[in-house]
Amino acid sequence: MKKNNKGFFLAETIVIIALVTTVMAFVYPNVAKLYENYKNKASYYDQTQDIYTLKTVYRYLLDNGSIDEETSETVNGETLSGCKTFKDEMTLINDPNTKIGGLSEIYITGYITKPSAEDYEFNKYLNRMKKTTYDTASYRLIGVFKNNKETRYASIKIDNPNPNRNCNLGG
Amino acid sequence: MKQNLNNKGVTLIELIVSFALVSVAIIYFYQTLYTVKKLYSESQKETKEFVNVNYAYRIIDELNNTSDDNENTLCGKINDYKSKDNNFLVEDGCREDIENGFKKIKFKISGKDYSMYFYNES
Repeated sequence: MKKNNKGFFLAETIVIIALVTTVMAFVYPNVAKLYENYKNKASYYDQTQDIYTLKTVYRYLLDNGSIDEETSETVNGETLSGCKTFKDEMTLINDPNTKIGGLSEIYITGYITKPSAEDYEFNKYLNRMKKTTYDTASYRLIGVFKNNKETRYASIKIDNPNPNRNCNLGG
Repeated sequence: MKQNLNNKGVTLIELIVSFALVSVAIIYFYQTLYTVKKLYSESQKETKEFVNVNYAYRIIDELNNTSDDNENTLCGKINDYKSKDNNFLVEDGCREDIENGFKKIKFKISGKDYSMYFYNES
């Protein structure tokens, strides 16, 4: 039997090592990003205490009618009135009584098609939320919490409009 | 039979280049491995912490909605409950307060401060 004693050329070996190094160079930044995303999620996104604070604030908002906004607009001289839907854009709820537990801003929004915050970090959170929100009929209450230079974000799903309200979510 | 042997070796330059490439590959590989290991150990620790905190919040929320015969404050109920449940890891030193009209309780789990707010519906 004729034996093949030929091994690899050094050049072939170098080419393979170069290819492996290139692949690793592409893989590593993604793995590093994985850690950064994990840290964000574990420390700044949807913390248990923030979610409970939002639930409490939501109960307060429902009870005080702050999200029962009625709107009216004039089209061709005719006044059309209805309920504010919160469906298309993020709406900032202005209620000074809700400033508890570091909660500095609250927004209500429908399914987010395009994050609209100006802040880069907030947009990152909204983008992540967009990926995990599949229910297009749902609404979300989003809170921005600020404590000692750190900013945390949390949101709760709202899908049970209060039947006693004048305007239910979604009009 | 005369065997035709290739006696050519590798040059020093080729050797250095291959070592350099292998070193770069090992550095990336090690960093990736290190990141994954760090992620694993931290996530394990934080998952445990999350489970404890989440459980405590759920129990405190339930205790707030229950009434007891002694008409205890919420901190009183928490202190009573602690002896009944080993998984409820709230430490001593619970405090009640009012913030912006909301009832607030402050407590500690594993040395870390937490607060919880309650709204009394009208």
